[in-house]
Amino acid sequence: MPILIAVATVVLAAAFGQLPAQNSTAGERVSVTASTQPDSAGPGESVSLLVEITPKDDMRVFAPGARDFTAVSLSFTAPRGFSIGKPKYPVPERQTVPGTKRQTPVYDSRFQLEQPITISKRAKPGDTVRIVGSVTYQVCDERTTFAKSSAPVFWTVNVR
Amino acid sequence: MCSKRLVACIVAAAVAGIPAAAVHARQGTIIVTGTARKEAKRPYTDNSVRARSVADGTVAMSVPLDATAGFTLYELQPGNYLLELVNREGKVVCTEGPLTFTKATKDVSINCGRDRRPLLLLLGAAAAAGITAGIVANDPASPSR
Repeated sequence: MPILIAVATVVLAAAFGQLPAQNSTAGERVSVTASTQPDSAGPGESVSLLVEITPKDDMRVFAPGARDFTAVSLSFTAPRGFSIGKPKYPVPERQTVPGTKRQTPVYDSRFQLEQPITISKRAKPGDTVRIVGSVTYQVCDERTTFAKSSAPVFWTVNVR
Repeated sequence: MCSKRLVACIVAAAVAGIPAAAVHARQGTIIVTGTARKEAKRPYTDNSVRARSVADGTVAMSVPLDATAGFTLYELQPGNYLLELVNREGKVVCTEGPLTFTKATKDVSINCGRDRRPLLLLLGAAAAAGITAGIVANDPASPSR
C-alpha cells in the first residue's frame, strides 16, 4: 500500500505538472533537470548549479543573442554569504525561426546551463542548502513561436 | 477493494491530469483571434502574425495564418501588443496597434491601419489648406515681384 501511494504521488505530480519529481520537470515543450556538480563542497569552495534542458520533438529554445525573442535564462536567489559566478551557456546553433529570415541563435537539442556559486565561508559542515530558482525560456518549432514560459528548479548543496 | 479504488482514482486523475496540465500551463493567458485577409497575399499559410510586446519589444508569440487568413494567438499574457503581419520573405507587411488585450478577443482585423484613413484624409486636407494659406500669405513677399 505505501508503494501504491508513492506511485500515486509521482503519477499525480507528473500529470499535473505542479510538483517537480525530484529536481526534474517535464513540460509540454521542454524537460528540465537540475543538479549540482559536485554534490557537496566545503565552506568557501565552488560548486556548479547545472540545468539540463531537452527540447521535445522539433522544438528549439532561443539562446542568448536572439534578438526580438526571450533567450533562455536562469534566475534564483543565492543564500546569504554565497557568491555567484558568471553563468556559462553553450554555443548555440544559428537558424531561421518563424517570422524572420534572420539567422537566430537557438538550441535544438539537449543542452546544459552552468551557474558557478561559491559556498559561504560561514557555512557549517553538515549543512544542507536548498536553492530555489526558475528557468525562463521561449521555444519555437518550424511554424510557431510560442509564448515564453518558466519552469521551477531547485538544487541541493551539501556542505562537507 | 480499497486498493482497486485507489488505482482507479490514480488512473482517473492521471488521465484527467493531462488536459489539466495543459490548461495549467496556459493559466493566466488569453486567446486572441482575427484575420489578416485584407492584407495577406495568397497562399495565406505562407504568412504569419506575430504579437510584439509593447512593454519590452520582444515577440511574445508568432503563428502562421490558416488557409482562410485567420490566426489564433493562444498564449498571450494580457497586455499591450503590436500585431505584425509578416510575409513569406520574413518582412513585416503591416503593423496593427498598439492594441490592449485584457481578455479573450475575437475578430481582430489586421488591415494596415485602414481604419485610420478618414483621419489621414482629414489631416491631409488640413495640410493642403495650410499650404494654400501659406502660398497666399507669402505671395506679396515673393521675390519675383
